[in-house]
Amino acid sequence: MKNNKFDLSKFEKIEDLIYFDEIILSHLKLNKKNYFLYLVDNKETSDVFLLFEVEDRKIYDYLSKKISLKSLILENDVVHQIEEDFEGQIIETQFLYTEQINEEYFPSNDSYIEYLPTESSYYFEKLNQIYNKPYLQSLRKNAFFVKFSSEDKSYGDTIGLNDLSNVLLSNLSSSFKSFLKIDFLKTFSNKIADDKVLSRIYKMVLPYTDLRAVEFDFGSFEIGLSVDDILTTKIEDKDVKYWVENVGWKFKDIVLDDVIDNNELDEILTIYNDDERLKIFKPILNIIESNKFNIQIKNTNSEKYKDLALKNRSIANKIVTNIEKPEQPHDFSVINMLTIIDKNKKKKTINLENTLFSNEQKTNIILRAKDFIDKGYNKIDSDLELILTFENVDDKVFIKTEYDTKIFNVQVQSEKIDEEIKKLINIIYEYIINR
Amino acid sequence: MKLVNQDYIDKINNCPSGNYKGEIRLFRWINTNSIDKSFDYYGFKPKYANTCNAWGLSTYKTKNSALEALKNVSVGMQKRYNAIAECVIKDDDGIKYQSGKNLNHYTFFPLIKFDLPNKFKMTEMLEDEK
Repeated sequence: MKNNKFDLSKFEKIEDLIYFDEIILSHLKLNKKNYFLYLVDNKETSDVFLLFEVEDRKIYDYLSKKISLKSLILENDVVHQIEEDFEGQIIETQFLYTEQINEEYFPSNDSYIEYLPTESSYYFEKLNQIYNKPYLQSLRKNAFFVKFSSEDKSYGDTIGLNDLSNVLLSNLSSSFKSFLKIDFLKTFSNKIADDKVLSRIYKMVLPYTDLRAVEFDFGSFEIGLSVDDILTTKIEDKDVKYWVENVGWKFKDIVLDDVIDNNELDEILTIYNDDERLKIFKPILNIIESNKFNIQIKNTNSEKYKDLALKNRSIANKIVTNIEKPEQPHDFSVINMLTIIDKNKKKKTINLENTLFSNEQKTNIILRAKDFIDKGYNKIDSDLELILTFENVDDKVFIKTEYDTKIFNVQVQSEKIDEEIKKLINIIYEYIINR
Repeated sequence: MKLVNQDYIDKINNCPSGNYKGEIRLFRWINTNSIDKSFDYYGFKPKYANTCNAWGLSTYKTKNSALEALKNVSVGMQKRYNAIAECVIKDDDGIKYQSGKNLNHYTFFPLIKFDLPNKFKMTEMLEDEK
């Protein structure tokens, strides 16, 4: 889009992060969203920047050397590319898919930084907590450990990456995600009567419930998982914060426990109904019942691994009853995709649905003038480009965009996404020709 | 004795905005093939004309922090540099102070007499240049 209306002055500058004679990287904020403005090229009479969104907690991951700047850029579907003259006037902006970004505009693969903030820095307090608390150590101290191994001894107990991602981690994540939702509702639906407020709080805290992998071991696959109790300080409600900090261990104690005695079993059967137990426990049973893999658990790094109580068939059968589940109406949902670039710079896209990493609730695509013209709508500015956001709201999917400071959206009602986008194009075009 | 760019610096209030006293070893990215161009001042871009530190030179307190920062610059812009240089800067070389919100970053305003290309000595060639 050659759009001269783009206004960087609407953004609030939080801090310049990297400079070398001039500002290279800045943290900006607009409508509670965080952005990085990144100088990528000096031309003869202009500078080129990338502007991209960054999650709040990822900023701290970046500034404490846990994630690279390159990864932060690649986590976006779409970025703005902005060209500004030496007077500071924007000459041109365009939306780009990350794969369209000039390769020379990316930083190095190892673009990590250890930011040492001054006392007046926006990040001073939180980064000092991270540095001083020995962050990873504190996460490790609070971690529990899950081990997957193969029952097929011809490969030792080695786990293939495909099995790891498609069977083991996806089932573990699916179980954890169900547990999160069900436990959140059980904990808070009596305290918060308004469903919309409840749903909003759940979505707000969901990213903080992400169990962080703090320890890996190879051969068999061992992973230490921990809830981050430093970044959760951003959650203001004490009860919600307590829930977030403890839900990982609660999941371990109820679902992945090595002992489930009769009292615990009664408690599980009382608290969770058939359907809830199916959603929470069945994915773990899928791993156990495959007879190909073993899943074991331990509470601290120094202990020995133990089998899950669910491995006991009589306990498993009581928890997950073999009731035929009536077919559920099909919900549409946004499929989360991650594009990664391998060593040969080939792009691969991975479906992240039902993995530990799929808490993102939206994805973006670019709609260009050509998309209007292809549908016969010719009275359109040839430079028009809009970002369409696919968003999950209360189990419904909406396609949204902003044009002319107005929000346009449609709810997805069929699997034909093109048709749904066309509906949105119709609405926007009608607006354009009538304004 | 005047600083480089003194006329421009004088137009900005409270510039230079600090003065670190004593000797300090500072590091800067350079290009050994065009050493003169390794010390450009960005205040000449009109948008930075009123930015005090744009009339000085960026340096880093440690070699590691200089290298780290460089890796965070776009690959295209990194190609302008091929080495890290270091210099022990004394009080009578100009004005230097920690600047910005990163404790590792310093700005140095050299005196006109200060011989930048010869004082900043190459300390490490970058990977691609070795």
